[in-house]
Amino acid sequence: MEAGSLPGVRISFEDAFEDGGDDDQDVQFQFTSDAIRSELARQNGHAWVDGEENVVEDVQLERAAYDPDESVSTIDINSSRPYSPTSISLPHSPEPRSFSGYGAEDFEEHFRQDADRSGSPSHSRYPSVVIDVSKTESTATATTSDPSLRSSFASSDTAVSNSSDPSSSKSATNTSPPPTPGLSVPSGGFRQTHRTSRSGPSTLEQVISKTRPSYLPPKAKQEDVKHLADWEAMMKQSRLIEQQKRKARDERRLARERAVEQSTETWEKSIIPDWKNAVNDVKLRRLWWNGIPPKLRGIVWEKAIGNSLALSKDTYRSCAARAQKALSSGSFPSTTLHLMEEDIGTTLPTLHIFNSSMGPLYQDLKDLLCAWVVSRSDEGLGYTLGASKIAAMLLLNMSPPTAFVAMRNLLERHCFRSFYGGLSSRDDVEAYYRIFDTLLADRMPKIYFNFKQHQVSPAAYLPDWVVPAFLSHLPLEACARIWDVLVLEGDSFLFRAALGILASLESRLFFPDRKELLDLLAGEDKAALEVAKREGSLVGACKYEIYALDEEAVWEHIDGLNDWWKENTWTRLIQRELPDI
Amino acid sequence: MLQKRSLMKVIILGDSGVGKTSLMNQYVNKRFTNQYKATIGADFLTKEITVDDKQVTMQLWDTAGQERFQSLGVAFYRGADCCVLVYDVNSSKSFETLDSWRDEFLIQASPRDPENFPFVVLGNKIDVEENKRQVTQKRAMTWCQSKGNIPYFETSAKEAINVEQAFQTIAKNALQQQDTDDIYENDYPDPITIKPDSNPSYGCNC
Repeated sequence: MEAGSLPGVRISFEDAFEDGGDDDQDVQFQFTSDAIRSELARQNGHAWVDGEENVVEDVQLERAAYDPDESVSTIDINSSRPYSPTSISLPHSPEPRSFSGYGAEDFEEHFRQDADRSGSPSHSRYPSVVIDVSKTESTATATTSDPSLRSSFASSDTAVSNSSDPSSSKSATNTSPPPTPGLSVPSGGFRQTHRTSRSGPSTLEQVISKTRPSYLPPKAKQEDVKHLADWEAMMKQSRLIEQQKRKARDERRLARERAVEQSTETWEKSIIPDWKNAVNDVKLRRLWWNGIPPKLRGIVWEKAIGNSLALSKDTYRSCAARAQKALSSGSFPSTTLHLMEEDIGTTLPTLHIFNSSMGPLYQDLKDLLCAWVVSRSDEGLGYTLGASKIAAMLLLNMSPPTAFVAMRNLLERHCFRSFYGGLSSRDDVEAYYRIFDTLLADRMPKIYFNFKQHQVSPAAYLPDWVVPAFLSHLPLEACARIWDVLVLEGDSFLFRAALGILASLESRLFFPDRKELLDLLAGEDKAALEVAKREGSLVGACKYEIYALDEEAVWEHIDGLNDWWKENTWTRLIQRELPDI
Repeated sequence: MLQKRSLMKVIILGDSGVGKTSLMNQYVNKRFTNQYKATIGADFLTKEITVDDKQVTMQLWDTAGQERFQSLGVAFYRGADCCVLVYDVNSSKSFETLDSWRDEFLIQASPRDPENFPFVVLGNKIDVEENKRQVTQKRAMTWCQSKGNIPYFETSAKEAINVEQAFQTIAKNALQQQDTDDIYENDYPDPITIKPDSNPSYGCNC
């Protein structure tokens, strides 16, 4: 290990700021707010090396023991106080040395006095923004005079073991004029270069508080350390609980998957052949809500969606052929094609299966969408962003001609039809928003109230969920199971699922800020994103991935609505808001 | 779009880390990297090959070994012409799970003639030192024989040992499967001769 990997705390002010004048030229420190901000940004961007972090923590504890009154100082980089962008250069440098009117000597004088006073530093002579450099010095003093710590340091680095020489530490305690021989490292400049190239704590990092916002008065050191320790303990506890929860969830998932697998035979032997009777069976509903065996999804969905439009098997061929003809003659609207490509590009991206360059189902998806556009064109409707998700979900489970019939029929259901209907069905969509609001107010009044206060209407999130039938926001597994029930229960389940999603996000929805709420609902919550990044769980599969909404989590909340949900409430709301259907 | 397919679909299954992606990459791109990056979802590569003087596009479907493809299910396995089972000769666990991978495939894909559906087994990573090997060639061969004489290859994606030969066999078997498949009805209904605009009233549901 090199000298540079010593815990940074031991660097005295001189060391850190010393030019050394030898190998390192012109290390200058700008104490402007911009410079500090960029330094902060740089520091935050680096992860500390594990071992080092520990050492630093130890040292902090030591510091607390020796300087009970010491406080962590705070640099208010946003201070409006006009700093002249003076560069501090170092004692040996011939450059002007001033920091807000204090010469470097004044500075040294200060912390010598401070160290003498041992704590309770009078800040009166400092500018309103305080850089408590005394910390560094007195820490170094405390550190070196402690034999146990000394030995730990000696073991961590032999190069500076002489720094723990008693006489030098004694002289440091007695505040002999710096540079203290025992404390200084041969070349401060070397240290500096090293620091910038590595990710250790810098001098700046030692003096700023990590536990308190910069605009608040500094916290007592003791408290600071205690709070950090408390925080560690809490985080540990929370990670443990999180782990247990995940394990329980995994077990539940496995058990359910086994049950679904075992139900395959029931599905194949008694439900599918006897469809008409089976659908009205109460027992079937329970089975159905648990999820359809993936293998049978295609068949069951097709049957459940039905074919009220009475489309024949050839419809797909004819529509696809018409689309093909339009495509080759160039009469297919290019804006539609553009939207379509964009939509396909965001369809289950992590699956790669619909990827435009190598996805084996890309062509199928595009053909299906083109045919769908053609079949809708007679009604004067164009493309709707999100249709690709519906088509993709169906294609995963059935062949293109079947998927086409299913897609046409599914999107013909009133709620979907309204959301896919463009301007012509705007009133109906508004009615659905009112219905959703009513349900939300009944089930989650606090969230409803917060949304109302900040003008977050269902228009801000509901269409994003409904149009792609949740596929953009939820993981495929969770989504497929929502579809299972959706094809059986119809429109009302769209709303139950949506309420279930809000319920699973509930703890995050009390933000008193419109933009935060909207970001969160769009799956762009910055805090959650950072957490997910840190945990490395991000793959970009869906928008709500960052909230860790997996199948079990979402379904826990959807199932949680069962006792509250009354089908006749839904019927009544529909009759009230949409009397014509 | 509807012409007779000259495309064969090959699915690669096996535990995570046995080298599915590496084998595919070695065969298609003649490249190997020691860095392991777990496949997310699935990965696809195609290669133009000639089998028995026939030009075919081989479409390789590489799966993520660490998860079961619950929801992907049907789309993933449907229409496969050959299934490649990969294990790591230095890990008996990866060999023991071959059974369940085979079952999973047969259940999900439900091929017409499961008894004769072409599988190929690859024992990968034979470049690793001999004393680390956990599955003997004999043990693997016995298993393959018991499952209806599945062709067996010992490969190294790293050293490019046997990779070309293995995929040649895979291609041949897949093509044979297509030929027998064509005797039956296809997954998709028979192509009907299309007369564009023969029925312009379609699309209107009045």
